[in-house]
Amino acid sequence: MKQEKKPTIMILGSTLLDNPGMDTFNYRWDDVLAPKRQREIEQLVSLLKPFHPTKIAIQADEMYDSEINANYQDYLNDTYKLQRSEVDQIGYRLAKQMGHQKVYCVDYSRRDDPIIPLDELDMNLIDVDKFAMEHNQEHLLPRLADFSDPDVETLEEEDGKVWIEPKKYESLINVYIRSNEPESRYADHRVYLRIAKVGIGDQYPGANWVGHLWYARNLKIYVNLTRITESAEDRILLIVGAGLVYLIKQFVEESGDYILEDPLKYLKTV
Amino acid sequence: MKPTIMILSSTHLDNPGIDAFNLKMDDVLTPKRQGEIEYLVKQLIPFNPTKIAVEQDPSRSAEINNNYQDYLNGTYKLQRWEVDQIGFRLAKQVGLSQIYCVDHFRRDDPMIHLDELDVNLVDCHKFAKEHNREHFLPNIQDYVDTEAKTHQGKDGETWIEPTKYESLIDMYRKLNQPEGRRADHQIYLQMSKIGISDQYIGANWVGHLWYARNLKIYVNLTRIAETADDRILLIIGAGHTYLIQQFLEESGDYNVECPLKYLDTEDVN
Repeated sequence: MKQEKKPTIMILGSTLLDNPGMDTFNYRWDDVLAPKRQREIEQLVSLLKPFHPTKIAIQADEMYDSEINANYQDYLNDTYKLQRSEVDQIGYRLAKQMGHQKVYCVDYSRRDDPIIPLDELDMNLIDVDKFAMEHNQEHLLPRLADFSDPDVETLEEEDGKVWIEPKKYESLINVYIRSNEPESRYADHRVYLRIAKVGIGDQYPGANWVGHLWYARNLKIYVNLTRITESAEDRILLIVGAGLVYLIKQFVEESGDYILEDPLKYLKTV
Repeated sequence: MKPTIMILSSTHLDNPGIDAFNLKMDDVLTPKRQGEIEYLVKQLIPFNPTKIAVEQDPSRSAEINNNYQDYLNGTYKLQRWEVDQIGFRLAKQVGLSQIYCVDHFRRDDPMIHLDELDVNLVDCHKFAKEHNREHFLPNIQDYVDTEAKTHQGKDGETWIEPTKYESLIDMYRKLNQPEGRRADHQIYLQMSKIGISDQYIGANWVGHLWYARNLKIYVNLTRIAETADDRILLIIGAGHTYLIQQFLEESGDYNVECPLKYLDTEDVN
């Protein structure tokens, strides 16, 4: 049988370079606009070029597409200054160097989702933290040890948000190599299977959150990737928060429709 | 030391016709089939299950366990479905006092209330037909080899009729091959693609109905796994096996055993 040619996808697990602090546990970056960091980012981008992406997909909902691509056009015309986010720093830079006309927004993140409209939902159905605290199930919640290495300091804010700060300087390439190790991607994912257990009797706040919010979102990102795939010649690079890598990669693999490449093949310390 | 879970992929022995594609079983109450079921059950005894879990919502637990008690007391005649034929028989033979219902199937689920939901959001068949996406729908080749005969049932469901007699043990050996389970799962990733722009009919169905249900079955299993000595046998429709096993393995908290280790094809007669 003739081997059918398939499109290629590579998923680069990223930290959020602009410290938005959206997660419970957040890696704290020093200023990536500093000259030394800028050189490291340029290095990272040049290491990714040999993948020859035909499209670059980023973690932003499609509703931001016009804004993000207007900025990208301005960047192509030298009238836009790159912001700190990985979308700009890695996505725009690499897309321009590859001669792309646009970047692709493939996240799915809508409060008005028709199946689970968050503004109308009884939040008790998915409030894993609250339920776990009230029912002695804190051991199922994410904890610092799930996310940090020994070489970091941590800082907890009043609202419970935790910042993870490296004790010593680590080059950006090394951070990306570490973030893309399969072991760390699995360790992240495993936490969700533990959170899923939060609940008692006919109450399933953990599984509600993990199933209807986490899995459903990742599945739609996979679907969005399939929708931007136009031919077997496509080589799509997805730049996405490291926590999302495991599931999206799993869906892509299980679909049988793609060749998956591993970013560690391209990321080398210099 | 971790609790052990084994998933036995089953077909529905009583032909309920609840799936899009259904394997048609001849009458499992005939003496020949009964002999085969007893043989299958005997093969599973060495797994030493401490609990047997079945594909039924916990809301049916009282009814099912009443039947099971009557069966233990010799006052209940086993019905055709696998819950009775395999579950009750095996549970009795290894001395278990109850059966665990671990499915999650509720029309009034608080997250996705089926009676209030706009079904257009999850109706993959309708959307695929109206938008030229039929190639993402499951088709008969996904389920049968070229020799099987098929016909349509009255609700549009497809019945797959075996062309030659196959013993139950052979059927269960085939049903529990990992390659077949992976192929079943792949169909869901294909269906997920049904949709256009901000319409995600396929992903809605697969994510909010299929994944969410299987995740809750996983959670229900973890809730009955009380100690590291527990050895739980789940008997479930073969389409569920891949995902539930994936959740169990990824959790890192359980030993997962494969039923092929126990099922051999030694001649029944």
